[in-house]
Amino acid sequence: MRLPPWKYVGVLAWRTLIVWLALHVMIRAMGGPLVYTAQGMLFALAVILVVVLADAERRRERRFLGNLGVSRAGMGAVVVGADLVLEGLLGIFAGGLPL
Amino acid sequence: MAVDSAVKAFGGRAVLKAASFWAREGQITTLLGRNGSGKTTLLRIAVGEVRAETGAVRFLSKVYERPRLAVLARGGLYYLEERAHLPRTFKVKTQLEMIRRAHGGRSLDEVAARLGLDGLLDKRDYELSGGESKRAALAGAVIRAPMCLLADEPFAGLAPKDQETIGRVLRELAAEGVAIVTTGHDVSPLLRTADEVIWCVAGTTHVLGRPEEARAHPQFVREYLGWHDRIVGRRSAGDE
Repeated sequence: MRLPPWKYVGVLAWRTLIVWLALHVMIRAMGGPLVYTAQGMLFALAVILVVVLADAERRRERRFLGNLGVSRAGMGAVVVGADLVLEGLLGIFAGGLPL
Repeated sequence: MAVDSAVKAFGGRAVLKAASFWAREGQITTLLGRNGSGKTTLLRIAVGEVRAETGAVRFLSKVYERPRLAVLARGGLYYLEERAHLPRTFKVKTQLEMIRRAHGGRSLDEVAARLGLDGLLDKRDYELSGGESKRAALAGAVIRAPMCLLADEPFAGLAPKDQETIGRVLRELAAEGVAIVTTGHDVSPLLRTADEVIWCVAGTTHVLGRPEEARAHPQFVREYLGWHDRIVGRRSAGDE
């Protein structure tokens, strides 16, 4: 699996942050928790993956990256990584270290 | 690169019944056929965007049951889709640099000069005209210098001068040994650049041979070229 070039990693991570933030604000506004359970985290990750990869498809980035040898899995790995970092940071600041 | 005996139906309508094409080193093969005859579908099967019901995709002597563009691209394939544009995310220069860094290849300045992109490298795709945008997308393939290039409708919607530039660059790539497959309905530039013509009709493919042999094929002329060949084809043949 090949990762996208660093500039695309930055773009995908930025888009992940925006969707992640929107999802958290929306769920919080509906009375949901700030820190999710493992199941909730997986569900949120699936939603973020679908939205960010569909957006990349719309922007014709998937074929461009495909010609660079980067598959959807490579793009997805960036999104998953960024999401886990964001969830980890939120867990540390909002819920304390799970010790 | 070859697609062998591909079968594909969309919503119960068989588009391809046993269609094949292949790309040969140093040659341009063009797929011609009426709208809906499956030209684009064949290319999309080759790069794994559409899955054939049966049939095989071969690339570099390896058979792929489920081909993927990313995997084939690492081996030397480059795919230019029907409305080929670079993404708008970054400047043209930045994206062409990414291709050069990933695969090596020619310098940006050399390619920009070949494709008349000087002064456009610092723009984003949405700031370019249709012809400039298509030349910028082709620049990616020229930098990559692939083993095989699949170009879906490379001449569509372009001014004759842009068609001439793209045709010249495709011929130069073929002369360097790249195996190229083109499709489309822009018969004059496609036949002028091609070495071999494959006719997509009735769900299958017929090899018509060299462009002049295709122009002399009565059924192909009657059912595909129609009046176009009598007016445009003969005139351009006379010019040559």
